Amino acid sequence: MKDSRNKVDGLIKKAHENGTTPVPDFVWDQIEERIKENDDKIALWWLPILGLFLAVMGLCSLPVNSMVNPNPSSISQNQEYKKRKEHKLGNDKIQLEKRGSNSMDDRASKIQAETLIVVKEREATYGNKKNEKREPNGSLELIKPLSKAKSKGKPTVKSRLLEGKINPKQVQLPIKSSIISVVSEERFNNEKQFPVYFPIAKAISPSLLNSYVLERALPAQFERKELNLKPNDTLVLTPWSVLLSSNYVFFDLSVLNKGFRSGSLSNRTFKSMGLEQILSVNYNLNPKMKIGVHGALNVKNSQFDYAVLANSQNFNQYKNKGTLSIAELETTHQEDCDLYYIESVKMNYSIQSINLGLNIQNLLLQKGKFSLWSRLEVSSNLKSNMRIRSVSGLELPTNTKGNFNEMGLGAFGNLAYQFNPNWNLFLNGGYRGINTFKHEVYTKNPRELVLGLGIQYRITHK
Amino acid sequence: LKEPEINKAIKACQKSSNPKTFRHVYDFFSERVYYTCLRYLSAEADAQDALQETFVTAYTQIHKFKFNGPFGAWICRIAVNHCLQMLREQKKLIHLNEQDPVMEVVDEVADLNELEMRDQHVIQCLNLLPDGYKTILNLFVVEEYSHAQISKLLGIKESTSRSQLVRARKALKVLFTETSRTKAIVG
Repeated sequence: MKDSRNKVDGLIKKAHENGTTPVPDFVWDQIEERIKENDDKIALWWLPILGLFLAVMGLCSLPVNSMVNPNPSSISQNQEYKKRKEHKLGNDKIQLEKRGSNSMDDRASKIQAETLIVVKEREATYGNKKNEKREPNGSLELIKPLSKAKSKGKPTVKSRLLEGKINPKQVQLPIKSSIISVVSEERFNNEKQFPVYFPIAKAISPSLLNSYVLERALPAQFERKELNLKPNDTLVLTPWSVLLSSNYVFFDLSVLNKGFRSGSLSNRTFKSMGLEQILSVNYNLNPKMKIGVHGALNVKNSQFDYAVLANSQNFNQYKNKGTLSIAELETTHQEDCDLYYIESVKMNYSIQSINLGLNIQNLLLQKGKFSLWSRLEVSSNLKSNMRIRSVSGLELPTNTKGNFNEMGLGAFGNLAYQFNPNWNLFLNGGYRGINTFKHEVYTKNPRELVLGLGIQYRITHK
Repeated sequence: LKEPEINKAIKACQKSSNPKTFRHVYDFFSERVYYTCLRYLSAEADAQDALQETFVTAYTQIHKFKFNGPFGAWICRIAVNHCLQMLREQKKLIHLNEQDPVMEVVDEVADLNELEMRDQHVIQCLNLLPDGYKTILNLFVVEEYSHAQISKLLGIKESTSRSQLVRARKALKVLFTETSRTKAIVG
């Protein structure tokens, strides 16, 4: 029994020993195509991560980025804007880092219940000299002096710090969102000089995070009455805005570069158009510059006709519009031209893509409530496909899909009208160059003329 | 290219993706891998698909190959996994959990020593086996997987793997006997 088993196994092993079979050539072509597609995908992996990083970076700063818009009518009432930042610790725990000994933990437990009102001095972070003492109407005011916060009997953090019992580096004061930022005009002007660096600095340094005051100017000045603001009300502009736009896209589509199904090459372009919807989340770096992450949904169509020289199985020559002449036919197919016939073909393509991109916008000109912005964008597709919707004249399969990757660079101009601090309407126009990667049909890179209309909502609160 | 040069090409592919370099690896191993695929999948088109999947997987996962064993064995394992996946998708492994009544009725099996078996004849008989039996024989005899490994790969019990192997061997012997007899009659 065992012998028989071994005999069978032996025969199988022997039969398959060092077995090889020639592989058809086309298999490598398919593999090569797929691995190149794979490489393309890998090459763009960083784009969504970068977008996410920017979004997270901005989101982290959202609770403290608030401002009071200086209104001309209120300036007369408040000669100087005051900067107040209150850190009401209330019952919050003051945490000590666990780097210290057990005795440090004991100290922490003793002071946990203490209530403090601490004003965190920020001037030093900006590189200014100490500026603790200000006039009552100055740019910095202590809500309650630290010395008054000392409770009877029990040592406070302040007293411990002064006595040198606690290393200042070991005290972390929780930063709460109950921060009111009021900035003096003078300081506002100073800060405007380095607005671009602030978001980066904020991400690195929590102390700067508190002290950073965002751009405070509205794109257009509004009267207090117009905004329904009471004399003492303040309008807080966040740096965030959401933009939605619908654009018509005009482009020349080049297809059939390597032939469709069969046939020889004929480079032609066809006037085509489509519609795109863009949703963008923007972050104002300063009054004149914003960056954004946008997603776009494109639905485009292309229809074109051409004359084709066909036989019963396929076609092998075509001409853009018009008809093929007998002379052409005889030249190209002297031997078997009687096997072919001329057919007029109409093809209808649908091109769809979902894109993700980054953009940067700059204010070029402002006149009252009108403003002119430039916008540069880079985008890459998440998913794109080109589908043959219908073919007339030839029996070709429709609904044939082909995926492709693309990357676009665009330059646009936006003419915006500011209805109120929240809403603006804009006209959008520009040019976008698209690079498509390794698609046998959609090969010539299209250049798109984009014209559209959009609205933008700036997030504010009173 | 010879084996040391192929190893260099593999290392180059591990460092940076390069289809041109990978082509050398493909040229060196493709015939062997294709043969492996054909052992599991009878249809050539299926075997070519499996071959394609195998090399695409190898290209993307090549950095995971640690030179602990031969690259040929590593890529053949990938091929076997793809073949099994395809068989599963085509539901050709279902009968592994069922009885095969056809083979039960034949009890008269010739002594293998009396039969003159050529490799080509063995392969023909193997190809006549149901996919399930062929798979078990390939995994156990050619790939030298244990029953525990086979049970994990195919999602069956170890006992099923054992019993199916016994039945596959028996079925193969029946085929050997029958085809030899036919040959003798025709001859």
